Amino acid sequence: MTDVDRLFHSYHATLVRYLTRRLGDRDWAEEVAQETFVRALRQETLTNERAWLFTVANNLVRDDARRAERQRRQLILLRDEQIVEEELANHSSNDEVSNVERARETALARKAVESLAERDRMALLLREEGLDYGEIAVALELSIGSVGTTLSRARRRLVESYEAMQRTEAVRRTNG
Amino acid sequence: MADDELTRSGHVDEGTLHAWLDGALPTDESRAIETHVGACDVCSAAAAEARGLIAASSRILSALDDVPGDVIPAAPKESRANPIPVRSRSFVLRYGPIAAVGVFAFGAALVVSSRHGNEPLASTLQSASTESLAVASTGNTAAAAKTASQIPPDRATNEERAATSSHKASPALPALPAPALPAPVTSPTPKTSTMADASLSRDMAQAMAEPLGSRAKVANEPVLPPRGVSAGTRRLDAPLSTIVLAPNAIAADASKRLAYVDRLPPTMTGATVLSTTQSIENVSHVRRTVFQLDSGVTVTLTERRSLTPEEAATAKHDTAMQPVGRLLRGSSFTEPSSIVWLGRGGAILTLSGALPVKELQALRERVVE
Repeated sequence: MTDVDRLFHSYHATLVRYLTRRLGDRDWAEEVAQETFVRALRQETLTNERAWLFTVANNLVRDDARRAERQRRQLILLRDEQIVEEELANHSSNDEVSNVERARETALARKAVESLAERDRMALLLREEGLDYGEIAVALELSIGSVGTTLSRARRRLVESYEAMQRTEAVRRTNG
Repeated sequence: MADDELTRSGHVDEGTLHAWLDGALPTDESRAIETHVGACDVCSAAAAEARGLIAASSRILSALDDVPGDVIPAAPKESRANPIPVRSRSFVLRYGPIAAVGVFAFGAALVVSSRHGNEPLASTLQSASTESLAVASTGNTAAAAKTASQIPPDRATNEERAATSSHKASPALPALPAPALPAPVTSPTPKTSTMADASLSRDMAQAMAEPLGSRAKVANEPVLPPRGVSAGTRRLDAPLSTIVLAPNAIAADASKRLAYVDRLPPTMTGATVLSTTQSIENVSHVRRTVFQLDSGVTVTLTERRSLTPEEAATAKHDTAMQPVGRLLRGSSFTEPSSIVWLGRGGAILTLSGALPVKELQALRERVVE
């Protein structure tokens, strides 16, 4: 097995999931992952390969996203809300209630994640993919000592904003 | 314990608590924090809260994996109601015409020259059931490809439910507004397939451990003539050779990176090509070929390669169209199983459909380049 094969086997799935969570778009995620591996092919040697891959993927997203990201995010949020409405409009049996709930959770989660600062969001998503503090520090160009602070802030804000939106939503549903 | 881990108030700061809970501190520091937290009510409460935040944020993030399912344009000849995932329907109705323009305009803008390619598809195989992608996401596991034995029962149930719900057939489908637009087709997942999560993941693990040669026996199956396939056939019993993917060779001859797409669409024995679309999506040239098998199941082969600089320059004109088309076709972690492998020059190929992973692997052997 060549190094490239091994890299691909080891990291393709985790990279695609990370990017999908970050971007809300599986196709886009797969493209970025692919380009990342293409770049890995061109490297003579890779030290700290997992951090390298996530760093390159982050850079690609940044470059790629400048022109269209805002519009895309709007569409993704719109889509998530649309799905909720769609689920509500079309289903009423008990079996379907869970679908509505799940769609709602996804929409809320997406909004909550979008509300984080970019660096906090990336730190959190990288951590969820199992990167250790050292790797996160490399990928985000942070000092290793500040990773804990970044993560704790990101987690708190994520949960708090999610819960705040849940409350707002509950009020809206009660009133509406 | 070292003073620098305490704030001025004499308690452990939140960042350090998270680092401690994440196992990111050296042993001696970690032990010191443990001792302090055990003895200090304030820090003990803060640690409990931090644990809660860690768990809650993991849960919130895992909700992001629930992305709407794939919708692929297909031949309009089928009059039976092709199921559209419930989650995507509104977008089909709302953006159908726009997306159709997007898909087909991109395809038209990038007609690649076709010629017969004699070399087999490069074939490092990685298989990944979409279920395992989603399932492996919790906690801090590094490896994405966890096997089913490590999936907690409740997670497995959620995935099963997710897979089932997102492929629910819609009995009464409204007609699409544009008559020229082919009916969208998705691959419905039979219950048996979704209930086989565990075995799918085992298949995957097994397949990853297996050398490619050991699957060559698939090629000895009776070979059916291609049906409804216009071109691009070659000897179907030829085993796929193992990957020829030397990084240096690719760097030396960048034009080889394009080789795999400069050919006719792939064919598959016992399958009809329903549609082939090509598009430019951000950094990739993507071609999707939809096959219908004799059994009626639809599978999709997706091929991606990086854009050349020239294509990238052209593609910029199309970016405004991309989000809508992309959303419509957005694939999903809860879609049918899929296998992914690395092709020549870093091209990434995905074969997905409502089939067990093993069957997809067998199909992959029958994809003719």
